[in-house]
Amino acid sequence: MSKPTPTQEQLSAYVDGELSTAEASAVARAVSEDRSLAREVAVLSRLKALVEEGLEESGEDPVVLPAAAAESAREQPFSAVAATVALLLFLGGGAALHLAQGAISPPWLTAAWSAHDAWSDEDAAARPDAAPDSGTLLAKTVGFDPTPLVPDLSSAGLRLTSVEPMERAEGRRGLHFGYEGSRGCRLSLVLMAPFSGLSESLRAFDDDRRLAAGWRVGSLGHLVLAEGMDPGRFALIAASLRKAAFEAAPLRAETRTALAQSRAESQPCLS
Amino acid sequence: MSEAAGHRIEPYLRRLHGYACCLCGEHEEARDLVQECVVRALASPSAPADEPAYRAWLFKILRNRFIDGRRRLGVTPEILDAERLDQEPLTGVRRIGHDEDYLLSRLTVKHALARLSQPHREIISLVDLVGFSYAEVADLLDIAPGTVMSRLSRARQALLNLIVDANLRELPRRAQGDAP
Repeated sequence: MSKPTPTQEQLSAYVDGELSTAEASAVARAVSEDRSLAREVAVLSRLKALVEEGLEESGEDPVVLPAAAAESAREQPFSAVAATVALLLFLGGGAALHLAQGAISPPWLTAAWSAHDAWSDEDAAARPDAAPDSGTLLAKTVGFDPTPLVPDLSSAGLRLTSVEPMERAEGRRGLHFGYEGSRGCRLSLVLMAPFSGLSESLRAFDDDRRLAAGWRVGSLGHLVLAEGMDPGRFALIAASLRKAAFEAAPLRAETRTALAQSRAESQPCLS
Repeated sequence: MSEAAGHRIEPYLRRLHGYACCLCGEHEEARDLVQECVVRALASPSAPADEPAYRAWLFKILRNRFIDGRRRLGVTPEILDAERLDQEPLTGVRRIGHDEDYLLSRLTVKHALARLSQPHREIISLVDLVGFSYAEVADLLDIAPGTVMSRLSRARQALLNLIVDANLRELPRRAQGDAP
């Protein structure tokens, strides 16, 4: 009497090592006696390996993390319209923004500019081509409390190229994130903790072509800095980052669209 | 976030992202989904201590976030309709033969994966990419282990059918020094 041929389900499970010992032995015996079954097993095994390779490729270099829970995450309305309002406030010095022209820079702002300048002045040829991978990001930011959100600004045409801890000052730890564009723009995001120098409102500090804005989420201070960037584009980026920080979430789709439009409509950064 | 929590999640990021790509079918949305997942995981005070349970927990968070996100948009994700797909007869069922052997390559597999149904892509990714056992997949998807076995087999058959139907063949790469 002929033995039953293994089903495709059994062959599939055999390739995965999911059959019981008795079932696996029976399939192995059938495969050894039948060339067409042996070919099926070979095809399934090869398919499994190729699927793994293909899917692993699709999972490479996620521009991710470590992201985290904001201490006082809360819902705040934001849209391209709100971004425009933020821009108008930024440019006009409205009630939500307190321009500090002519004032003496607080030490944390000076430290942030120093980190920005040191990174920005680096030899461009020495910069890495690729964004820091998730492992590097984790390694550089691990232990920073509260955990920072590392935003993806690719929709704004800016890619993260540098993550470096800053020197501790006045008991504060700092992290500098450097983002570069393809048209000469360099934007820094500086995080400081514990920080009490700003309120939760967005505050702008402009000094001719040197633009800065900051806010605080819980004990985490955020400063965004750029030089020679279109002020409208800068304001939109700052407002978007603030929104993402409060939500402890990636930039929303409408925000990414607004950032992409802003980049398309803005001039390259002045050197 | 503690140093230990950061180090612990890092080895899973790439596969979380691969799984997210399978669910979303789109790279940027997948990145956002992984970010949301990690935010949740790092903020949670109740991460399982056992490593296999921790891995399953991470993928469960990601899957739930994906489903929640689709529902917020008023869409029922295809992965929740997998049982209907389990009942449908597979078209073009045949024993695996020479064609599949001849046409299999990284390129043809990737091309076919992109066109595979979401539930089939999901189960293939959970086993072949993430490396879950059938029992772990059954737990994650809340189905019987036997259903995992049959759905996976059908998913692979559907994938092979797409490869054969597309009839694409990857050209061999020219070795350096070959005449143009």
